[in-house]
Amino acid sequence: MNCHDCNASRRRFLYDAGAAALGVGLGGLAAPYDPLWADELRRRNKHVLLLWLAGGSSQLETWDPKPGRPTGGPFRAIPTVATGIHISELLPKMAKIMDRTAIVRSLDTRIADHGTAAELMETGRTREPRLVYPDLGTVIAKELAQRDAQVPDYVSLYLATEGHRRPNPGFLGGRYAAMHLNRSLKPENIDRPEGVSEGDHADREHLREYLSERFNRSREAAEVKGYNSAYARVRGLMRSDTIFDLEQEPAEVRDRYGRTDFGEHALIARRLIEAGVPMVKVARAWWDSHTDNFESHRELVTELDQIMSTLLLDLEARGLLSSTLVVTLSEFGRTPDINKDVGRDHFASAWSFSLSGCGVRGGSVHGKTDDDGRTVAEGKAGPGDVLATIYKAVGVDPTMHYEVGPRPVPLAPEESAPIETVLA
Amino acid sequence: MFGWPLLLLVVGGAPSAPARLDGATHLAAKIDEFVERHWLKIGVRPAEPADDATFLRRATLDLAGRIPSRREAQAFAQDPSAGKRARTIRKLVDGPEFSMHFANVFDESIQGNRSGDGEFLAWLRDGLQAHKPWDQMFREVLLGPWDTGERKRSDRFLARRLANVDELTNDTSRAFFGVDVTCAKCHDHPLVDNWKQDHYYGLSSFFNRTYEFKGKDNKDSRVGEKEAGEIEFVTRGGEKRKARLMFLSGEVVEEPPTCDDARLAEQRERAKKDGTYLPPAFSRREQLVRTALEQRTMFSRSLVNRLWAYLVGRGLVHPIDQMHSANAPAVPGLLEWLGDDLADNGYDIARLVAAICTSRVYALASHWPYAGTLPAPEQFALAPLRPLSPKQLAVSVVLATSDDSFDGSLDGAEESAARAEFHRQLEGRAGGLVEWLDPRSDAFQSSTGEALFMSNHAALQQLIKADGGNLSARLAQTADNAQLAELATWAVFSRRPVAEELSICDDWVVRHQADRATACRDLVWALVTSAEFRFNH
Amino acid sequence: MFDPAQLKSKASYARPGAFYSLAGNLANGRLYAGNSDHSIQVFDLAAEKKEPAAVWTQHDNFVSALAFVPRPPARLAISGSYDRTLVWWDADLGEVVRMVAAHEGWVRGLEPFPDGRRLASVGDDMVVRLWETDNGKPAGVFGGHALRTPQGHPTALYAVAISPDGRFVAAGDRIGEVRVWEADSGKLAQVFQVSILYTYDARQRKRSIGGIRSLTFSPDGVRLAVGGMGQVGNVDGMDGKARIEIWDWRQPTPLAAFEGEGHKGIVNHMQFIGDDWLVGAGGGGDDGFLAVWRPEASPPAAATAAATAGATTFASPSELKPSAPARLIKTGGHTHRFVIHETAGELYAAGHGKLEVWSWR
Repeated sequence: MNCHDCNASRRRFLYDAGAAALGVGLGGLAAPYDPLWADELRRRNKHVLLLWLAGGSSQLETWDPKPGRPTGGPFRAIPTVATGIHISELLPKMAKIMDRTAIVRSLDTRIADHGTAAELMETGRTREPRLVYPDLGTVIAKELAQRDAQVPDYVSLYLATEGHRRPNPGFLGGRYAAMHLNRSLKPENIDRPEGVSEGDHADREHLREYLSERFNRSREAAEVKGYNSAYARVRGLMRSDTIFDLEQEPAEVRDRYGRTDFGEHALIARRLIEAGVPMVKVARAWWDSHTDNFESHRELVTELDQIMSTLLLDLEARGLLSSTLVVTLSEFGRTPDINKDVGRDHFASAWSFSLSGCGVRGGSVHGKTDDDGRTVAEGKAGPGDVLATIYKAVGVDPTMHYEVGPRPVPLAPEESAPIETVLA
Repeated sequence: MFGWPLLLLVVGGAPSAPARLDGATHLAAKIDEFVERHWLKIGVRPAEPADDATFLRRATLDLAGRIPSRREAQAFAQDPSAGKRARTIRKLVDGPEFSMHFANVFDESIQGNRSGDGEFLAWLRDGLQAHKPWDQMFREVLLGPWDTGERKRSDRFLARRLANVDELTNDTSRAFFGVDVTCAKCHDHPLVDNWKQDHYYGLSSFFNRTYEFKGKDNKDSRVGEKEAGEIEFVTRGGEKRKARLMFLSGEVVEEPPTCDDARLAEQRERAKKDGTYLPPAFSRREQLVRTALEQRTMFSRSLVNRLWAYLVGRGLVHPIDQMHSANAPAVPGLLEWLGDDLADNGYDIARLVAAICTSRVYALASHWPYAGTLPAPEQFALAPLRPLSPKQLAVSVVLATSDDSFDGSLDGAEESAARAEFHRQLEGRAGGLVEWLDPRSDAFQSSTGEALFMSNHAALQQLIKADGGNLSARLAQTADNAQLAELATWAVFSRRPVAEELSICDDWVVRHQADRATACRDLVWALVTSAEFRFNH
Repeated sequence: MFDPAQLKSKASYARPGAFYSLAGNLANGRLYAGNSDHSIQVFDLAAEKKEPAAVWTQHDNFVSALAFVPRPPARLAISGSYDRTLVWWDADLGEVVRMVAAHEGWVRGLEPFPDGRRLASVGDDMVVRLWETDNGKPAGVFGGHALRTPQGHPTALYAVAISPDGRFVAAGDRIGEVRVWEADSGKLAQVFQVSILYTYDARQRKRSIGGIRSLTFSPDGVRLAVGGMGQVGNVDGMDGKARIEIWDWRQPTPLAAFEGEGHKGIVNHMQFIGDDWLVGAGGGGDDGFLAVWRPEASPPAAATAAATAGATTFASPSELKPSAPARLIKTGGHTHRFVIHETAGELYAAGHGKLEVWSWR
């Protein structure tokens, strides 16, 4: 059990008898932030697209190559349009548009088992026994969601079975929980049932709403407001099913993204962003190349290169890149030393992630690893810093607190800070 | 299905039941005394009592895991007698549905996220049905005996945690002593005097010799305990310490010196050779059970608090797994008194439950009738809204929308058997709905997932479509709109409609008169998805 | 006489990195081993010290292929690399004779023709290229393998083999396709699929593993052994059964299948010893290995006619009952290539972290 978070402020233990009555509801939490600022944010209509490279992608075969070193493997490094920055030869298309992207090469996150590390990177901290942190997507959904949105706030796609994870809304609860697709691209329960006409469907919801509001008249209970708001969003969500329909895209566009699963999911992500969804997470599983690392990364990184570059250019062409933050992130990286099965194993001591688009200083690099990629030489960053950077890039204040009962919980852990080098 | 014959036997020949529950009335009065004294002291005026319909619905949900049936609701409303509430509580607590529902409640509280094991649930059900005392259940979960298939069902708590002594320690502590000790593992609790590393490792020591015994060829797998093994830990200051057997109260248990009995040694050798299990001469786990029961207060108060939290909506100590010196109970004296009473009266679960449900505080309304701000939750002056659990909701939806055939008016053993069967059928039909519904938690949140399911999934449409003698069909056949409204409201909300509702209903049916069956279907939909149905209020 | 039962390790040269290729000047007892550190290490088998006698550096990437070709009075070693080049070396002096930009992708394999006058190389540009040994001039390009996998991903052309009579060249790729060409005319003589050697996991991990990693003709040139790994459940590991299929490539008809019974991995290299033995080496889920099988003695009579595509129906590969090896040795880490010195009764195996000498006398 990892308890290093217990080494925390005394405040944590002042959390007393009143602690868990969260009173979270539609009106938002009683958080001490400026409501005018929140409205300003909403008006700016920002988005985050997280490309979750599940299983641990190799930093040596992507953003931090070490050609010629014993740990470097056979792939070369290529120059990019960003002066002084070289990336793996497996990313030639990204190299040409590197001025839109920033890299952080100095992640040291210590935890190297899939589940725990994934939760660590999703929430910025290790789990606490009594507080379930929301994943960063839920936080973004909450902070960037439009009040009367007719589209989902948060859509998550994880359509492989290996390493499948459902985003956890934690203490933020069901209101901002992701619409999660893991069986097909069709969201569940989104079609009007047989025998129920459009009119019936709408009418009965009005009746339901009327009766429910009557019930709450004498109570003003937050839970009831939350319950009713979930129903209020049903019809908007039902209409959003066209966003998932790829037949609506021209064949040329579909070909550019590629007819692979990942390509199609990325295209859906673009459509979701275009439709106003503030948070999209697309998982590409499964990068865990303990064996035959070079062959598998040849396959995976080539695909990533194609899709990521297509996505960035497509978003840019539609005027969306300046308001969309695109992140590539895994739960950890891979060992510099190559094992006897020509593979790389889990490695959390020196690895990379990338950011592109909104709020990002394209063409920048933060941090350095040593010549063989075994340790961080400069600019060490942890999971909290990753979160802080993502939040700041889209204008969400990472030091802001949520009130979980009487306990203030910061969005990013207190010791963390945004990585300014990569922010515009 | 061991339950059946046992059920009939026990219910048929348990003369002590009424006598035992008599104590509940006295206990309820005591609860009222403490609470009212507290209200006076803090100057709080409690809400009005809940009306009959609300009371019945609340009690049936809490004690039978479902809403009342239409007949039950109407019968209760029509009953003029004074003691009907107390009588209903007793009847529910004594009935078979109590053990079925509370088996789920205890399963969740004991097993946490490992709940749902069919064997363990069955053991819980049988135990509750037989009025097994809580201390005996505790003993069976931690010690057995597990010599028969039926008895072995209770080892499921330990069996699923054998791989991880920390999990075993902490889950036992939370489930039975109301204490979450995870943080105390790393260092002394900065504010709470009672939780130090010594306590954590002290408690852990009772478990460290517990392991999974696999006999020859892995045939005889069971929970076993070794003869030896110590825990050593490093304090925050870097000092190495050997853990002593210490209960959460701070009491240290001395272990007897190891026996060098030649005969014992020979037995051990033989057992090892044969691959059979030989229990240890001194069982640390048994010592834990003994110590905890002797110490009494932590064990008894933890159950009181847990049951109070479940029924009243918030623990006397809140949160329920933070029972420590820096977290005082909300109503002075009550928790301690009830804890002692529980221990003094054979740890009788049903008696305590009945008492709480007969008290004034349990029967308060959930809407605040006075001007000004609402009272703080720990004042217990207003009943909180509590979301139905997925199972309660699913079973209630099925019951509300189905036919009216269940008649609970049979007598004695026949009624009990009929009720059990009725409940089982409801659960069977509700099974497919449960996974889609939002779970209960400290802070209930509604997801669009549940709303989409209720709005669009075929399973629900199936229940509300007019068919045979189900609710929608019966409504469609009711020519008079006022009667229709009455029937619908009684069946779904378990109460009579108010004037405004009569007119809403009438308006609805008239507007959709072209297709009465569809109009009724959608009326039922709106009722079962409305907030009033969703919450225990 | 080769006796697999007598095979035992005689000497081991532990080296950092991994050897991907090996060639031998058996007359001199010299071995040339290509390493992941970009070097070619020359070993003198007679020497006391277990260290290379010389280290040649020229390549910029893994040295994936090596051939020793005596061209009297010269003795040449030719190396192929992931740096896309072929380098000719004077094998005695260790000097570069010429360097040729060979493929538009990693060079994966290299085989000399039996008469030494030409070489065939394969690379990830998915073509076989022929070269004149004496001057490095291109002598032919054979293509036709798909440039992408059916799922649209990059592919590779791993293996090349030349028939003992020098008339045919075969190449095998990642998705399991074998093509055979007439060496002189470049005419396509045969194409067939051994798709079982390629696993694409569309459900759990959404990527692929496998490929035809080795090819070799039987001494009579009629059969082609195709080596790789069978279908695998978990593409994170080489956990499929090591698999070799023997085909009568002229029909084409699969004749026999061999699996490392209970043994997992991928077959990186194979060689027949006469008609009686087939030796294979590789690595994977169960560690590196050397294995020896008894191939089928001769093809069915009906198959002696000239190659005609699809003329006869044949048992699908899954109906072949795979036989187990006569001997299976764990070598500790992938073994990528071996060279057999029949007269000396020795086998030299190169792979992860070492070069090992095995002897059966």
